[in-house]
Amino acid sequence: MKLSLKAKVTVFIAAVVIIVIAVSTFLSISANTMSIEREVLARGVALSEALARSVSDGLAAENLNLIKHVENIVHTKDVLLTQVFSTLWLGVASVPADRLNTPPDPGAVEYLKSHPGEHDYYSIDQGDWTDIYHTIMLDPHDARVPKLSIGYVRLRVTREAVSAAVRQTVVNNILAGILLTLIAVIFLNALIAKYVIRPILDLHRSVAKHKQGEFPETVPVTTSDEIGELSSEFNEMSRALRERETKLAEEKERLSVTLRSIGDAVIVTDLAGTVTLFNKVAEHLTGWSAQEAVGRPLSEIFHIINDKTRERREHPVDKVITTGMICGLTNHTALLRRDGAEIIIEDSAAPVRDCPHRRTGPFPLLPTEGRSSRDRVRFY
Amino acid sequence: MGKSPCLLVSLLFCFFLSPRLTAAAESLVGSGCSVSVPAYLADLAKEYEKETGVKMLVMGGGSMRGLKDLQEGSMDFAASCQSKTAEDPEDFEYSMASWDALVFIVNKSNPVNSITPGQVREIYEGRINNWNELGGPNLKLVSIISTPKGMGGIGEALAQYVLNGKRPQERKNSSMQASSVAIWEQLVEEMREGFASTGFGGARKRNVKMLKVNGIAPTKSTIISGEYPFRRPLFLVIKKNAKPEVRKFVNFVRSSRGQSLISSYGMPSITDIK
Repeated sequence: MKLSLKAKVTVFIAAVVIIVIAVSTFLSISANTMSIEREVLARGVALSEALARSVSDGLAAENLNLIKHVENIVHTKDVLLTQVFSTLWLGVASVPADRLNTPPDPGAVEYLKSHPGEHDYYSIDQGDWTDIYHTIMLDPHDARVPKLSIGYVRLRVTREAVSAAVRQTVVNNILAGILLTLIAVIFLNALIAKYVIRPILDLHRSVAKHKQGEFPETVPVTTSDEIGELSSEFNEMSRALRERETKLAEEKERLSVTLRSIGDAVIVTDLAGTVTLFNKVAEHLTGWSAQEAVGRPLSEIFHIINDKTRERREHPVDKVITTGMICGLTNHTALLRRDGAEIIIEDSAAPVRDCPHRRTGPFPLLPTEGRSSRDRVRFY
Repeated sequence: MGKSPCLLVSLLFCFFLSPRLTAAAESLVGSGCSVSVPAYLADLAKEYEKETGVKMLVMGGGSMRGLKDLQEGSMDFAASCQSKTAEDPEDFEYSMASWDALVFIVNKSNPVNSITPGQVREIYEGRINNWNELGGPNLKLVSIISTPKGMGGIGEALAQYVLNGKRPQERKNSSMQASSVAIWEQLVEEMREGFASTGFGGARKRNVKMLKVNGIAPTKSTIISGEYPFRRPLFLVIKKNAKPEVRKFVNFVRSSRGQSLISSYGMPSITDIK
C-alpha cells in the first residue's frame, strides 16, 4: 500500500499520541486504584472502629437494642454486611439479619485473638469487597478496671466505588485521548506540513515537471534548516541546469544552421547508417526532400556508380563505419538521382567523434562538391 | 528541726492511709452465663459493692465465654450454668450459687402455650418446623441455638432432660445460630417464628412467653416444689489460686445473707430447696 508522506506523518503522530495516552491511562489507573483502595480501607477501618465503640456497652449488657447501631452503619450504601460477634466468635447481631450465621474468616479470628489491642483491625481483600474486623473493647470508665476485649465486629465494604472510579478514569482518559490525538494530529500536521512536507512536496513537484521536459521551477525557501538549504541548493542546481540547457540549445542551433548553410550537400547518419540530417543542397542533389530522407537508410536514397564502367560503387559511409577513417570517393563517380538522372560528384565521409577517441552514434558522411563541373557531397 | 514533727505526721498519715487506698483499688471482674447475670448476679454484685466497697463488674456472654475468660486470666470469676466437665482445667473450682430451671420461650404473640418434652425433642431434631404442628398458626418455626459446644448450661440441661444425652445440633431448615441465651431471648422477643430454650432466671425478665411443660408453668414455687420438672443449678467458678477477694465474694454469695438476697430477687435459692 502506497501512503503519502502526509498520511505517514499523520499515522506516526497518532500512534505516538495514542501510546503516550495509553501509558498515562495505565499509570493514572494504577495510581487512582491504589489511592481509592487506601481510601476505602481507611473508611472501612474508621467505620468499624466507630461501630465497635458504639456497640460496646450493648454487647457488655447483652442488650440487642443497644447494639442496633449496627443498622445505622449498614445504612451507608457501600457497607454490605455488619456483624457483631462475641469473644467466642458467635454472632450476636447482624445486618442483614439473615447473615447472623455467616462465619468469620479463620485468619481474622487467629489474628485478633493474638492481638487484643484497642485499635487493632484485620482486613481481607475479597475482590469485590473488603472485610474489616475490629475488636470491641469495653471501657468500664473506672481506673481500677482495665479495658476489656468483649467481642468483634465485621464490616464488609464494597469496592464498587473503586471499580466505578477506575471505569470513569478509563472513559475520561479515552475521551481525552481521542481529543488530544485529534488536536495533536491537526496541530502537528499543520506545523510539519508547513516546515517539512510542503518544501519537500515543492521539490518533488519541481523535479516531476523537469521529468516531463519542462524546466524545474524555483522552489520557495521558507526555513533556514537542512530543508531550507536543500531547497536553495536545488534552486541553484536548477538555475545551472537551465543555463546549460540554453547554452546547449544555442550551440545545437548554431551547428545545425552551419551545416544547413554549407554549399555542399551534407548528409549525417547514425551508426546504423540511418539519415539524421539532410541539408538543402543534398535535397537538390538527390531529389529527396529532407523530410523524406531523415529516418531512412542512406543506402535507399544515395546510390553511386562509376560513370565509366556503370558499376555500383561501395558506399563510403560503410567504409567509414568499419574503418573509422576519413574516406573520399574515387574519380568518375556519378550519383543516381531519384528521378534517374546522373550527376558527377566528389565526396568524402568522415566520422564525427564526441570526444577525441570515442566514436558515437551519428556517423556523418560528407559528400563533397565535385570539380568545378561536379557537385560535391559531404557525409558526416 | 521545726519541720521534723510535721514530716513525721505526714509519714504516719501515709502509712495508715496506704492499705486503705489499696483496698479501695480492688475490683472484681466476672463474666459468663447469660442466665445467672440477670437472674441474681447483677443485683447481688451491686449489693456486694455497696456493702464492701469492692468495685464489681459482671458481664454476660455465656458460660463458655466466662470459662474461657477465666482460663485466660482476663476475669476473676465466671458464672456458669453447666457443671464441671472433663475439658475444664484442673484448677477450676465450681461452687453452686442458686437454682434455676430449663424453660422454653416463644414470642408473646404466639398462641402456643404449652409443650411436651417430646415436642421439644422433635423441634431440635428438625422434625417439627412449623408452629401449626404445635397447634399454632401456619408459621415457620425458627429454633434459635448456638453452636453445640457454645450452648453451655442450656445445652447440658437439654441433653440431660430432653435429648437423651445429646446436645442440639444445627438444623439447616429450622435453626438459627446466635451467640448466647441473652441474645436468643431478645431474638424471640422480636421474632414471631422464634423458639428457644433458656433459663428461668433470664426469661422471667424478658418480654417473652414461657411455655408450660406438661401443663405446668415454670414459676419460683413450681421449681421449688419440683412440679416443674427441669430444675438445674447455677455455678460460680474461680481458680483454685484465686485472690482472697474473689473467694470472699463467692463465700458471700453462698452465705445465708447472699442466699436470702437471691431468693428475694425471685429465684429459687439453694436454701429454698431442702
